[in-house]
Amino acid sequence: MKIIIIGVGSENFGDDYIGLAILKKIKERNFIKNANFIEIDKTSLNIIDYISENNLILIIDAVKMGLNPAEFKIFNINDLKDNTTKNSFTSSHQFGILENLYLAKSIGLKVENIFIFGVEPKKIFINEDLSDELKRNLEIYCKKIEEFIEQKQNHYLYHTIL
Amino acid sequence: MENLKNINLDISVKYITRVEGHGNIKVDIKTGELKECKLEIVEAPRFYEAFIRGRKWYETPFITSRICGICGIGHTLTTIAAVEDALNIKVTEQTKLLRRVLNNSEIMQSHSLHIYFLAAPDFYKTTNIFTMAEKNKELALIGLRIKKLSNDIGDVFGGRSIHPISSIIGGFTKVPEKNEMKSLLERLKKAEEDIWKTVEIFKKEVQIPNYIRETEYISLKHPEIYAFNEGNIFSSDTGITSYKNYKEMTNETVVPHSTAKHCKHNRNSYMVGALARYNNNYDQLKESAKKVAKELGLRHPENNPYMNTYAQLVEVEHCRVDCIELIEEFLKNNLVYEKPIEPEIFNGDGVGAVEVPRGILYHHYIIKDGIIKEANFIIPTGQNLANIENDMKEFLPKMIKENKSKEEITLLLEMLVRAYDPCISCSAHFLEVEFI
Repeated sequence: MKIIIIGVGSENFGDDYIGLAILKKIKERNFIKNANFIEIDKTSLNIIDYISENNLILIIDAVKMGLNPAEFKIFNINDLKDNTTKNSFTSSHQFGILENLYLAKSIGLKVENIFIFGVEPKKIFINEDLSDELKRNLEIYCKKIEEFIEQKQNHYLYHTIL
Repeated sequence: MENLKNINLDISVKYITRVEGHGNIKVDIKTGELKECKLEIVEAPRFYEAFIRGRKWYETPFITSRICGICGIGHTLTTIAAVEDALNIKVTEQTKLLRRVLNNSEIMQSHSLHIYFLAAPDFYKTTNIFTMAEKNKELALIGLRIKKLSNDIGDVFGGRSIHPISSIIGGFTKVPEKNEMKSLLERLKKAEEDIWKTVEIFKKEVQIPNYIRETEYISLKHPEIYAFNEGNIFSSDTGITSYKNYKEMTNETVVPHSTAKHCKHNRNSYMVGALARYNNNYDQLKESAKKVAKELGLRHPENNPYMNTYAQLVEVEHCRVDCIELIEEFLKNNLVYEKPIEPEIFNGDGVGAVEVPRGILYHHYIIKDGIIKEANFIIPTGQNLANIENDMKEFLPKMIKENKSKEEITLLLEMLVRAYDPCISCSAHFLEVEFI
């Protein structure tokens, strides 16, 4: 099983940077071995290229989920209410991560092995740094992601051996 | 609209979907009289021309590239052309060819986004790419492949897929590696199958609305090649003129219902973009691109604006073949790193005119002591807006005569706007005002 960890975000855009900040920290900690680390700050459409039955993909991004700032959640798109497919997207600039995942699903790609590590942002403003609440939790986010990947790897190994 | 005297029609489409940016369609027909027919542009202006003033000459391409995430390469190349024009920088032949590949990649990328993701759902009477992909998975996959290939060409030749960094004023900061080019070459050759599969699908499954209105077509023209990166301005009405005369060709005016200015030249509107280039420069298309056009039923000249999407596919094929030929030449003759040419003067007035996916993009700078004093950008979508409105006004009575329902007319008008592939965010400019 190939592990792909994708950090999504924009620098100098407040908490929108969190995906890239966590990815940077995970790489520094070096606990997760043999993974592909990918930064996405521009075209999200490329995510589809990484989807394959044998890939475990974790996308790290700021997500508005209605939680308190800095809280996090790991989920799959199958956990979400699918509104996207019913509506037109209004602009090509609005073709984001979720739209890509729904498109992947529409063309028959397996999305069960794609997870999103979402962090609730506090502020998203241009020329702003990460908020203190998110900065303080960077180590915790990394630990949770490392545990999650380890758990998935063990699960995969167990089922492969059996 | 004599014979439509009993007709009342009120159409209001807030935020046309599957276009870049925000625009509304408003139609009001009262007892046969067309009271209102507008394409409102409601996107907020972003003041790029204002905040680039005071920046240094060499910073400009990196700033203007950010005007658009889809046409970042086009804005980069146009700024570079304008600054080089102002500071009298003459680049090498290799630089010109590398820029041609880079621009080809953006034409392919942007056109494929429009053809497969924005326009194709209309062909299948679906609302978006997700539901369209359920009806024709293959078409969605082809779109993704061509878009990825185009982005990767941009990455190799421009340093990254969007907002290129290695293409600078005076040349390039690096040249692509042989192995990178070989890999692209293989994929470009393979993409031929995808183009022809698309042609086959469109021929079999797609019915393009048949509304004809002859208009003035404006594009760049070059004596030797299908003009994208360089050339003078050609009007199908009045012939050729220097790119320096862009203001005489565009005649921008402010209209109350649009934050993007309207343009006109010989008539009260004109068209730019794939169809205009196809009509003006047909003879210089690659043979296989002409074949694609023939198979898709494009006439020459083609006066059906809905056919712009097909003209885009013709250009994707043209750019694909052009990229293959150029990369083969680079591999044969070995690209060498050339130090970018630096200016010897730091004062000047220069214009850049480059064909970007939606038509001619103009950038104009006045530079004093290496600092930008004045900037003017004229964006293709702005040039097309008046023509879209004129199409709407001409086609509406025909649609009504054909007893189309309000829903059908609304969809046809939306499809018309989408066929022009407008990039509304780029076209929304600040209004120039003078205080007493």
